[in-house]
Amino acid sequence: MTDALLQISNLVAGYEQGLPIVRGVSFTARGGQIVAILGPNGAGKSTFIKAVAGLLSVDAGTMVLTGHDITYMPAHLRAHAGLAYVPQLHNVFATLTVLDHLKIGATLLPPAARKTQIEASLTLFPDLARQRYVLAGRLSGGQRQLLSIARAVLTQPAVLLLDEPSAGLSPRMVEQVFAQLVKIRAGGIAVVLVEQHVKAALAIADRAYVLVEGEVAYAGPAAALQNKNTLAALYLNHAHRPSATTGAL
Amino acid sequence: MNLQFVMDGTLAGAMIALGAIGVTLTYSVLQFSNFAHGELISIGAYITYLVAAAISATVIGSSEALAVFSFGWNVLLAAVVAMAVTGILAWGLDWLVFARLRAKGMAITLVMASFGASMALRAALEFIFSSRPLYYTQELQIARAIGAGILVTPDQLLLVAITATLVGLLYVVWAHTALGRAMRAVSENPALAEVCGIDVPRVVRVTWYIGGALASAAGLLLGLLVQVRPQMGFEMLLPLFAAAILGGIGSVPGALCGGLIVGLSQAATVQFIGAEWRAGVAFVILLAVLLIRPHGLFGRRS
Repeated sequence: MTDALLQISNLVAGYEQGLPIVRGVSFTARGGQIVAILGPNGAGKSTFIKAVAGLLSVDAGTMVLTGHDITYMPAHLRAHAGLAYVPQLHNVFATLTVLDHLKIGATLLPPAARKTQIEASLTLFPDLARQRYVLAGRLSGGQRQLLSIARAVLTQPAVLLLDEPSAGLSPRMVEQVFAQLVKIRAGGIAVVLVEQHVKAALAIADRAYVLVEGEVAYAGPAAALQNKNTLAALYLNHAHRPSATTGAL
Repeated sequence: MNLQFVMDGTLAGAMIALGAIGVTLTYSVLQFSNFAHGELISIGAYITYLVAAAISATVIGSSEALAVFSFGWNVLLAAVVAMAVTGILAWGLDWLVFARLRAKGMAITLVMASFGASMALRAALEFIFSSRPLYYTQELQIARAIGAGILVTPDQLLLVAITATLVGLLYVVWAHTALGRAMRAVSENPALAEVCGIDVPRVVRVTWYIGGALASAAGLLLGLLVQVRPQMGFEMLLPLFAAAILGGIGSVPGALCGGLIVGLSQAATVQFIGAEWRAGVAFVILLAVLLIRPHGLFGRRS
């Protein structure tokens, strides 16, 4: 098993100090894996991922990215350290072109590698290559999602965080986005996916976490959650948990 | 028809545009109307005066008129120094006052603080320099006819050229460099910009530097063509905001066009209607444009 690229221990975080939404979550993501974070509405999934991205302050716990403590690191330095984040909403700059987005991503790379990586990214996302000079505000919802992923992956991150990448997309577009995530996993990146679209997420995920009321209700192989009853029981915070449950991986 | 108003309006528009670009950048990146921007123009003009005087006192001959112009190289060098210093002062003002209030998310307090800073800085200038006007040069220039009944002095032509160069440089930075992309990204979505790896506080600092430096350049223009007074920047404030809003908040080309429209309409009003209508007509034009295009000429729809 590869080393953990992202190791989180007992994370406590929320929007206001003293009012935690995420309560003592421990989490691990390894290279070449897709890790799905599932849970009912209000479980703290998006809060968790925002705290990891550095957009929320942390009350307690530690976050280690590729061996470096990033717990109190500003968000822009986390990006430089190898953490890429794709938000659920407002994930592109409407007045910047597709190429501008990729150039922003490329600034995290050594100057000599920038042009090559931008071209490689456009090859990976041919739909975007055709619209490189188009303003992101003119793209469809799915194209924006792909652009946001392309910008994030271009930075060659160790860990890619995605907050509900399927939200608001057509089934065909969801398929396209998830196919890209599988390709990205093949590059050795740890893909962490918060998702409401449980079936689609479990279809591509290697590991899964279920958050209920800000706590880990399940951590283990994604395949173990294919049974609807298991997931329903976890969502209802029942004691019925599969044997793989450990609280952390 | 006498077209002198075109030259007069272009000059006024150039001064307004330089100030309006600072206003539009600050608003765009920080979502904040800085009513103390006029005082940055005055401060820039006074720093230019002081540095030019210091150079003149230490380097003999530096204040002798350059070729066809009315001022010496000491003024040009002083203007460059003043742009750098005013840029730092603008950032210092943000660090000392605005950043602390911004961190607390107090939008209306921030606006009132900028009014307070405006009055305090203006009072400080009056205290230090008195309200007696100062001049960069006492040389007289003879205006020359350039056709169509337009008279212009070499100083005026040089100042239009300086404005065009500064605005052109800024446009290149804004539209074609990593810094410009970062500024545009921060102006649209600071949180997303941050997770993309952009150092948002650095972008904010640079925005203040640029805004302050351009305000100082506007102060040079105003000081050379008119005079240096503590009130000079404050009197420019309404035209600056009119130009920034007319052009579309957040748009550098918009601020330039807005400045020229306000300047030209004011000059045309003086020539064809009467000086007492100068401010009124410019604002009627502003209102008319905003009724048709509420986001301004080059602004984006919210």
